[in-house]
Amino acid sequence: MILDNLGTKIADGTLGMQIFASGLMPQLTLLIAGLVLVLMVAFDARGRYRTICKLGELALVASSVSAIASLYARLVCDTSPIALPSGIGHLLAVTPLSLLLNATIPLLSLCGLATSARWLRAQGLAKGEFVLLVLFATLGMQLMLVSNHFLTLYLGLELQSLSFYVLAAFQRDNRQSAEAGLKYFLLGSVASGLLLFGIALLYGLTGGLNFAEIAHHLAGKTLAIPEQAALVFVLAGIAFKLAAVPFHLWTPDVYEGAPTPVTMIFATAGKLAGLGLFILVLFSPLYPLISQWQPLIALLAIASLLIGSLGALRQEKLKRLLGFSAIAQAGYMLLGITVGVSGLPALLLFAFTYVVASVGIFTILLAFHEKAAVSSAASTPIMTPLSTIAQLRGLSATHPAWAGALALFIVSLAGIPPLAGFWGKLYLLLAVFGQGYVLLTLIALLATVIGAFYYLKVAKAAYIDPADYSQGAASKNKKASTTATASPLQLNASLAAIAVTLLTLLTTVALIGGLIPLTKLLSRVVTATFPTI
Amino acid sequence: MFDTPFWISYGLPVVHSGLWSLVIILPLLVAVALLTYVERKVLSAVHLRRGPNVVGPFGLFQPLADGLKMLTKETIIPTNANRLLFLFAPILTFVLSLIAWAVIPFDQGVVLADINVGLLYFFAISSLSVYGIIIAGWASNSKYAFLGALRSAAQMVSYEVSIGFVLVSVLLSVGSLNLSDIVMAQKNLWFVVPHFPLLIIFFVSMLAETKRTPFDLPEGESELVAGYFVEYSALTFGLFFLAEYANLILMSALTAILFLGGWLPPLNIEPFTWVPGPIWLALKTSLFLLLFILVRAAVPRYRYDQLMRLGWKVFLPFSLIWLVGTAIVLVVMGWLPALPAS
Amino acid sequence: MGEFAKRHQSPWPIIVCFALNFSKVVALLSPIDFLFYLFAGFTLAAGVGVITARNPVYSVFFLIAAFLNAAALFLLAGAEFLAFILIIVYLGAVAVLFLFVVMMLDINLATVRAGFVRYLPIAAVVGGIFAAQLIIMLLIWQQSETPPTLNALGNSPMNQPNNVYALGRVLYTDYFVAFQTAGIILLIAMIGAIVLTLRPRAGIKTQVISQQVSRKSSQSVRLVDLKLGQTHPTTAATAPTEPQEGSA
Repeated sequence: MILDNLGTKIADGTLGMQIFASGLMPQLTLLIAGLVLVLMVAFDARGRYRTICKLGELALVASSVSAIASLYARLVCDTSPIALPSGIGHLLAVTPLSLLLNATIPLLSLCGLATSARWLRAQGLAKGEFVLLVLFATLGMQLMLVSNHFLTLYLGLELQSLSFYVLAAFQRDNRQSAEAGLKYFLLGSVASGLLLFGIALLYGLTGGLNFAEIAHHLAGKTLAIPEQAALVFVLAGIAFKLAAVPFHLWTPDVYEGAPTPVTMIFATAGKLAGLGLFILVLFSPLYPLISQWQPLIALLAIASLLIGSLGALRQEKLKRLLGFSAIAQAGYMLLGITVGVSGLPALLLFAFTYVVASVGIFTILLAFHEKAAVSSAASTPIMTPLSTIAQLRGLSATHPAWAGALALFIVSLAGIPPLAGFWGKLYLLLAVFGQGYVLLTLIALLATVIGAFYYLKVAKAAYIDPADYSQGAASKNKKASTTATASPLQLNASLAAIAVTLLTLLTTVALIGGLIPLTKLLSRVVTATFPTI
Repeated sequence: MFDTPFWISYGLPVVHSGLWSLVIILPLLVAVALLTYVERKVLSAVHLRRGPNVVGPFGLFQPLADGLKMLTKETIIPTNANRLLFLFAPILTFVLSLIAWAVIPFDQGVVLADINVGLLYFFAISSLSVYGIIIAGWASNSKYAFLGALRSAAQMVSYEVSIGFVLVSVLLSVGSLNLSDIVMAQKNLWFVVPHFPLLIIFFVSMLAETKRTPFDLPEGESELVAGYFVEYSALTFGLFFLAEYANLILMSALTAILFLGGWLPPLNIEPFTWVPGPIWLALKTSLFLLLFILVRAAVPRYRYDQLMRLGWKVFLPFSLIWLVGTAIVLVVMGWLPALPAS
Repeated sequence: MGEFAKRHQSPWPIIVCFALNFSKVVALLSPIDFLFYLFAGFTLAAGVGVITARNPVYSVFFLIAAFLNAAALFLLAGAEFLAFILIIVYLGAVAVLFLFVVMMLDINLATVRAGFVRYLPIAAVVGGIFAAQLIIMLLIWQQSETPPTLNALGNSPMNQPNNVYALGRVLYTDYFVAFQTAGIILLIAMIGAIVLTLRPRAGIKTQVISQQVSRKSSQSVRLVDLKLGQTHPTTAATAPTEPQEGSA
């Protein structure tokens, strides 16, 4: 056991080495930081949000750094992973892929936390619990991705989901936010129930919950209805988390209703975790069923691509549009999974480009606030982030730098060369095409074309459509709220928003430049994770 | 099983445990009667008056007379009450106050059900006793009764939390949930010495759990008339009354078992060991009963928010910290109780 | 009323006849089996009661009955720890809260009933699918020559002294991580509930115990020597209506 001779191990430093070598450092960091912050928040209810936020950000950075260090040790120094003690080993398994995702996810949460502080304060929501929930959601995602057992997988997923439900309803006096939280909670609970039912069936069929045991039992069996039923239920449960059609109905509402920084975390960290979950479940315990799940996943992918793209066409609200876009992106990701292990590097590359562009767009949404009409009751104006596309009009004239950045991210998301998003999509579609899925490729191309249309609508609003302040000013003395564009945008960018935007831009560029080393790294991670497949 | 006659395989165990139950219940009911007498006597002594002194020598037959009165009065059932549940509530309360005695050991091996989760059984029964009160309050269809029931349910659920943690600390030092094992673990040192603060928490929580002063808000005669049993009269009221006192004795006996070594004599030497174990248990139980009565005489009623604050913000954190401290001390000093052999 | 009842005029012969036959059937069972069928029957009946009871409060009572009988079934299976934890957690806490809510909210029965009929087909289909799957699973399980052993409990805890010990051992060794994660989930649930509902209200008086305790008599009590019929200038100004009890 890891706890034997605890005193001597602490004294000569072997304990630290063991924990580091186990690769569970990212989770431990977040856990300890989270528990300390719980006490800080509990005993210091008022104020100090800044301190707690900074500490939370520090913990996220530390978690990410330790994951990167472990990944480096695994891949470059080729240290073989130490055997985890019996109480942990059959529940958790640290793979290079999980380390890679666990290094990325805290950074995405960090972006959400960093850009949210100013907005939260403006809303009077700057409570320490926000930081706690983000930290524990991140911990849940990390735990889920290192699980080697359906029990830990489910518990990690629930930890993440529960934190997400509360985060979605965090702006509790706002009806939309409360509705988003409730909707997410109810549908999410049903999805969890389906997942549990599938897990229970698998347990009954194989007698184990450990991934290796399940794969072992399923491998030698002739597959019948119960196995397929279990597969369907598990897939339904996890497809909800990735927002794949037909389990997507919550996405637009929750994306729109949740506070914008929270939506940013859902769309980036949550999406990546959902993808990791899919890869983990399908390529580890359920890999023997690959011939069964491949067509199912392909169906889900096609439906997500079409419904996501077509649904986004008619949206006027930015966050709703991004919600539908997230559904379409889930479709692309599922395409990559259909290909099998050989498609995973391309899939990961695509996911990273998507996540980076999303962070950029959300940061810009948060950087601008619409100054709503000053109500007589409140002395300070209520700030709301950008919500409709029409509000972006004339942005290029007033804030050319921000408009440029927004356009870059949008174009990258749409997959237009030479930006990073294009290369991600290209590699992904090439991988799909290479496996001979011509129809799938065609549908994906169609979705890309539709996608380009609605993405560019956003860019067009910022660059081409004229700003109509005059109209707003004219209608001021009649009814201020005749059009959504009534009040001019007010730049409210904090330092964090600028920094995040710059970093994201740099990353986008670096993704283009470092394409070949990055793909090499990703394929190395994938081969190290699934050496036998 | 096929060759044993039906009546033997089913009837004998039932008769056997039924007789045993009678052996426990009859003295218990006598003790309840005595307790009401003692309570009135002690209270009157505190008040500098004489108390019951007319019926029998020193008024000793007063409880008997009270009981007769209750039996002969008319049972009134309010028109709008839910008849079935209205009558069910006092029966449930009374039964629950009796069945918990099944796991109380009176001496080495003298116990009706020597089950290995005795403490859990007790805890489960005590958590069920909320229902008698809620049902009574709801079925009476009266505002006072309902308010009293809600208060008492919230109060009992809150204090069960700290009672639970006290129990966990004790069972951590014993390594068993069996009440006889808990007594035997105190052979050398009663738990009152190492766990003295827990005894205080446990005793106060018991006061809240049995709804005694200073925590008798559910009854709150000044504001809620009599709380959940306003509408009850005659025998139905009598059952509540009996149940309350039976619970009082049960809780005191349990406190004696958990902290004062149950049937064990104070010192394991000659003059003390002559006295049989059940007598010791009775003496220790009486000590706590006396404390219950004196508290009633001395302490005014708590306000509701104070009651909740005490339970959640003082007892709960303290008992949790004490639990962690107990675990640390046991591990560090190597005093962890030996686990039962496989 | 059929012919039979008309002829006999009284149901008692039937009941006695049934009881005699029933006792013969019962005699074939071992006591444990008999108790199992008894409690299982009660559980089912209570379950039916939950969804058919007219009054939601009765529904909760039926639910409580179902929990109790389930606990009894656990006891019969030798899982005494689970049985009592079921009672303590579900009956002692969860069902009490249910009762609270149901008793305090005035639930409109008519709308609940209407919804029941409307959603019955969907519920029946979903329930049917779930039931069918479980039945298929069971059939396959029984028919397969080597049914999988459910070995999630690791190294056979059945030979441990008792199941409290066995469960504790498994939870704190093999499933330590999962157990702690479950704890963190509960912590998050608590934080979430507090974040979403706690509203510090302005303008209410709360008791600050530390202030009360740290108050000294020198700050709050003043001894004033007053002659009969004379009022002290300061006390007269601050509390003119209250009669002051002067003491020396």
